[in-house]
Amino acid sequence: MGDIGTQPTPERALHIRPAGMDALLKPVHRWVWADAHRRAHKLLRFAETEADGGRDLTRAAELTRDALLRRLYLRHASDELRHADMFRKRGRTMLASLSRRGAGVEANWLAPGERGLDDLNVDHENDDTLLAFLHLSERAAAMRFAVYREVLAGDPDTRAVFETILRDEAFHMNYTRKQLERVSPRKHGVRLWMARLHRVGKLYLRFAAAFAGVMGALILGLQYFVVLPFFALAAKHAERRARVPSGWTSVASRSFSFRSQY
Amino acid sequence: MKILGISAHYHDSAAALLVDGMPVAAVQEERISRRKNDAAFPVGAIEYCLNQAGLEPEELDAVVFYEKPMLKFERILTMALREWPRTFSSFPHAMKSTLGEKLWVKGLIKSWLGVPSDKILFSEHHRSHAAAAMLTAPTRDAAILTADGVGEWAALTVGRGKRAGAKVEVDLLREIRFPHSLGMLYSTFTAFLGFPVNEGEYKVMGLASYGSPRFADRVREIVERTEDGGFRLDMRYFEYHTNAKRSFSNRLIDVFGPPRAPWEPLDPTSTEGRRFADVASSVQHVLEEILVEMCTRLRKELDVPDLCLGGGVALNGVCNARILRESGFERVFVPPAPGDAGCALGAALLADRVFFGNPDRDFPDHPYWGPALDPQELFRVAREDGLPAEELPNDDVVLDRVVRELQAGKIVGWMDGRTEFGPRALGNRSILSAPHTAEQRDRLNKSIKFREEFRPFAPAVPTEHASTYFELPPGGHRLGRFMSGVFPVRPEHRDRLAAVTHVDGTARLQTVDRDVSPRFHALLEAYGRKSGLPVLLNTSFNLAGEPIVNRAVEGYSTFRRCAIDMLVAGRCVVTKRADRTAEIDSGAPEEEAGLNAKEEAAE
Amino acid sequence: MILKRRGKIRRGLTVVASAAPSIADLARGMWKSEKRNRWLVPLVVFLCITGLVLVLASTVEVLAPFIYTIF
Repeated sequence: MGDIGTQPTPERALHIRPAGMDALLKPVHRWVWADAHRRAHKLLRFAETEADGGRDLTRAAELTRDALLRRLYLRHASDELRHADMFRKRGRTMLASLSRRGAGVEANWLAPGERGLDDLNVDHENDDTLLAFLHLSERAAAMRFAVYREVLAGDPDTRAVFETILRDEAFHMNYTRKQLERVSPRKHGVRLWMARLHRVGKLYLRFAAAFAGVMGALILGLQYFVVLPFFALAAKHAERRARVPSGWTSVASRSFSFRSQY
Repeated sequence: MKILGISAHYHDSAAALLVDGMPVAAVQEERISRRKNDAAFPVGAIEYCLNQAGLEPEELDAVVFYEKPMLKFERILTMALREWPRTFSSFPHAMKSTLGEKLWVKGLIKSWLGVPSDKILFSEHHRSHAAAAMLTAPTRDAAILTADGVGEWAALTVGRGKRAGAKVEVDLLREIRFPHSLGMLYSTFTAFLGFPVNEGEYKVMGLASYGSPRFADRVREIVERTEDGGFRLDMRYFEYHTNAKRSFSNRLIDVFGPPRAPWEPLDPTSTEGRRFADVASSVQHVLEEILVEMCTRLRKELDVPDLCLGGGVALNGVCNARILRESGFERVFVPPAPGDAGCALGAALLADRVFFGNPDRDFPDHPYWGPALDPQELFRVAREDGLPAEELPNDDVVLDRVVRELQAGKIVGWMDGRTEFGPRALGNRSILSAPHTAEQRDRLNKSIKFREEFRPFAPAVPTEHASTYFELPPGGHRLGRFMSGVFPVRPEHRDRLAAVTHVDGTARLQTVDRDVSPRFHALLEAYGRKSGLPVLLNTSFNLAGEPIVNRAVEGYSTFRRCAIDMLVAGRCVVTKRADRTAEIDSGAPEEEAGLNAKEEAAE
Repeated sequence: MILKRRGKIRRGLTVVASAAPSIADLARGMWKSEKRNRWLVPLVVFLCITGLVLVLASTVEVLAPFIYTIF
């Protein structure tokens, strides 16, 4: 029987290297992870991301008609939930030993968690497109976690968490690739390239949505200070004049129409 | 006449379908989309409802949205203006979410369903709650009280419902308006105690039992009673009306001490944990006090024996039981889905009975309006995975087998019939266990539900035996029908009901009627015959962070990921093999012997 | 699938097309309201129009950065 990717490959984890860009950005990653508060909050956020990923994989297991994939997805989901638990425990342990304050800037764009900047809508994916997505996503995560492992030399406990998770990531990378080759023997290369293009498209859409979000907030913020003050004065005046009741307001005589949205 | 009700956009969106005045289907979107508390426009739920009736959208006579989006927008804008400039951070957020989608409900409905404008109707938020409570209850004339965070402007209303002959009336008499809201008060303390809002309120109620209401006077200072029997909140303690990120102000922290961070462990026996439990107990106590007093007044004013409760606050079973005991009402009805999801059904009923003036019909008194189970689906996937799956010949054999497992201390995932509408698992999508020992409760908390130790589990008991084991006031059986009341466990039975008896000696029981859930009732009776105690621990069939399972395959995936020992769907029974259990449940990527055979086949 | 499987853009355009009667409904409601807040109508209409731009931006995500140049 050949290797079809269902066996864990712990030794591969040791050889996973950071992606070129991440290697270049190592000083930035070092800065992001240097602050203990930020580190702890990032671990808690990673825990949420892993748990979400676990739920996505559970959903994938529920939807697939392929029995082998179902079992692998369920195992993958269990891994993700275990990772979530590891991140959560480590984050909580750190926070318990730190003074109470927020994370400050978490810099999630610079140092994202496992699914990173990827969106996944499992219900709309086929087995092959999902496997291609998962493979790229796991590969990116493994390389990202490799750089986190390297910059966390000063925190051996957190580093150990990443070390353990990296071993699983190597297995996830491996099985998704092998299974993609199995379910799509002729087109797995195409699927991977399409998934890569899809990731680029998604990246642009995320940028566009973020830009639109910032612009929308900016415009509404401007309106708040330019257009609203006059109306705010009027509203405050009307409130005083009407002596807005606190306690009961009778509505027995209020007209009600099913046709109106107001 | 075919009427579709929709609720959406805030929490747990849902759809419900009436055909000729009778319900055909109702389901929360989360059960279909598998995203907990999914607030998105409920495309999946609508699709299920239409499929269930075999309808095309064009065949609908009306689509009713549960509230008036434009009135809600007016409230959001008015509050932003009144509190200007303190609302500068929340304004862009509120406007983006409102103006970006929530305001354009008519367009959304048209875009998804293609129905013309004149078929789209709009109820009012609390009128929908009132209708959901009143028109699903077996009563002809009742007082109504609805309370939640906020609807359009109203946060609490009282009214009266009448079903006299063909004519139906659901009239609201008066309301208390935002920002003065008991729902927001409770949610604010939920956030203060480090729990997620709209989800963690149960935890506050559970935690309250560990504390004493020593801060009650301070809470009373925040919730001032008005001369007319209403209340007003001292808004200096709150920020939910000005801040999108924090609901309480520093003044509240000055009074109650530092809030709990969500990641901090909560041990009600520690000094800090006791403070949090006391805060929870105090806010719970004041909430009960206000609602009991309001209901007492309402009873005297309207002079009717029945009360219908609606809105998210009606999920507070401790408060409901106290209202039943102390307000003077003889019967208290809480629907299985009193929250916003239930408004989909309420809005549809209101349109049918009031807008179209269709004749009144008695509403079937059960919650099972969701998708039906396909046991063959479970049989197939379990067999494919090489798990022991059997299709037993008849119900008696199934019950006998399940009872034996339960008696042996095993935990059973139980799926049957159609999914419950509402947040509670009432015997069709439940995890069941023997209720006798605290160890069993701890096992469930740690290995299956992965949740806090201070949260209690609920018992299910046949209605005819309920009073033997629980101290039920008159009307208590009815309140227990949809797990809407918390009642004391009789002291002599507490030792044998340790897994379902909360620290204060109470339990949120479900009374099971033979007519409503014949199979679940038979299981309880069978368990009673063997063990001498016809009570089972019944908790929702889901893992933390996930919605209750719907399809058999979802029950199966849950079964595979936690320590449930046996899964039952109809007459199909699946158990775990000892050698597979550990490996999947731990998720450890060790060599998976069981997979290899299939891998070879796949090769 | 029973529901209309229209594309996102088409659905967005349906929403925008049906906005005018909804805005009119809101303005009419406020004008007749006992709350005497007619002075709020111009702001509400203005914000609703802003809202339509937000709807367009989320409908045609690809063009979102350019749609804001309207302002």
